Amino acid sequence: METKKVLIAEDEAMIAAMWREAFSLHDCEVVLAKNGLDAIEILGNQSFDLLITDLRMPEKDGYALIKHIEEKRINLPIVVCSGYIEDEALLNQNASVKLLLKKPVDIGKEVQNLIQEINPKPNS
Amino acid sequence: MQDQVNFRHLDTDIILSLIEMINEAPICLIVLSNSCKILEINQSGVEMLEFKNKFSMIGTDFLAFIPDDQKEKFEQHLIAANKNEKAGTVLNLSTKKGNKKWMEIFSSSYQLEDNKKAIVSLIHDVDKRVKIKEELAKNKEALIETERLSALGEFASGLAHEINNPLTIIKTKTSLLSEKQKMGILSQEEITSYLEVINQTVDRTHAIVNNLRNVTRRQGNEEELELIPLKKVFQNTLTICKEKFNKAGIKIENKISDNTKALAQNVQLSQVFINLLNNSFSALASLDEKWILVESHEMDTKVRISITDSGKGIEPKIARKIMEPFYTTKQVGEGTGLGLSISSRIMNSFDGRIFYNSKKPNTQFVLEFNK
Repeated sequence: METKKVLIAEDEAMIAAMWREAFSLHDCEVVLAKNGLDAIEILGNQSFDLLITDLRMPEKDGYALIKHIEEKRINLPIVVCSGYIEDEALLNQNASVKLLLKKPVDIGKEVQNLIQEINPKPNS
Repeated sequence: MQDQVNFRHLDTDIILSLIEMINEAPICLIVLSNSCKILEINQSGVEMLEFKNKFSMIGTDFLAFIPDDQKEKFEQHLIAANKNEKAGTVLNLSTKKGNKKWMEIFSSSYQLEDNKKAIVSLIHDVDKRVKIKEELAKNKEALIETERLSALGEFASGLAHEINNPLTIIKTKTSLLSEKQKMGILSQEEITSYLEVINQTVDRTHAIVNNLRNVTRRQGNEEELELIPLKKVFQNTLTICKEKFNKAGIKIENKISDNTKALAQNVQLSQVFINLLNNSFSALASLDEKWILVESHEMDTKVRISITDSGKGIEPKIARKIMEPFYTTKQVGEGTGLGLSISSRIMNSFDGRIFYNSKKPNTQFVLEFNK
């Protein structure tokens, strides 16, 4: 099974570190971005299998990051994880956004579920 | 008294028309004996006090219309009248039918023919006026309360984020703990470090909730002023709202020096900071350069805190009005126009003041305190 690469855009260092820890347990390679701008830069020269992004971040926020990905037609499934999700509009209006996670979440459990999604089942 | 009209010299016609005028006047005219018995009353008075006719009133005790809680006020009024001080008093009178109405009463002492003293009073129904005034006062209070809550509400969304982050940390850490334990890969060191993180995160959440409680708690004016560390109050205020400013890309720099203290009150001052930060937030939305700088300036007996933002100042004709209640440049529904006037009132309660400093190229407000 090839190593999956996950990009985490999260300004809260502790939470970013937990995403890293949880994905690492499943042998994923994790890259951290401090904000939307940082993430856009990283996306310029690396490709990923999954993006986890917060919404409220300094510099460029999650909305701007999602917009960038859609405009540049980057093939990247997005999971939005934020304490500030007011409606489902993000999910409906952006094809790349696959899942909304409302904080507080159990990152360990969510990663277990996400791993099932990004790793195609052996018989499919 | 020489200047009093002597009715006996007047024609009957004139007397009748005078009596008619007195009866029809839209005000109660009443003559009371020294012991407060009703000697004479006009028709308007009969109606005002809800009697059927004047004859059932003559000789009765006027004090019967005055509820117990108003009696002392009325006695003071009579004393003033007897001294020929024509003072007016507003009393809550009770009519014959038991309806309570606010009435304004003016009285003066009057000499009867038999040399006995009497009191002549004019009573005017001011019930509507008093009630409207009460209503207005209540509305004003409600509006001030609304402003306080809206300042809070604006930060509530940011606050949810602030609290959901630490909760995510706790939830995930506890879950990872049990997961790793099940997998049998949990070391002693890891347990210690996980628990430490959880403990610190609980403290952090507690600090956020505590700050919120400080801002929402109502405090009376009787609360005493104390020397408080200004840097810390500003920092605490920021913890509940920094999210909103971060997201908008506004950099806030707290350059208040560590030992600056001033006579103030924690919660109230927090409200002033929130109001000023809110104003800057709205003003900076449309600008490319977004920053707020907060500095302290020590003087002999006073301390000043300046709050400067990257805005380019306020037009003089607007600047003149900004401290007035209900003045706002924000869209309808976005601001109550009370932020600065409340801040000004709060600063006055500290014996300090707030002013707009037009001499700076950027928008600057200054808070001045005693120390």
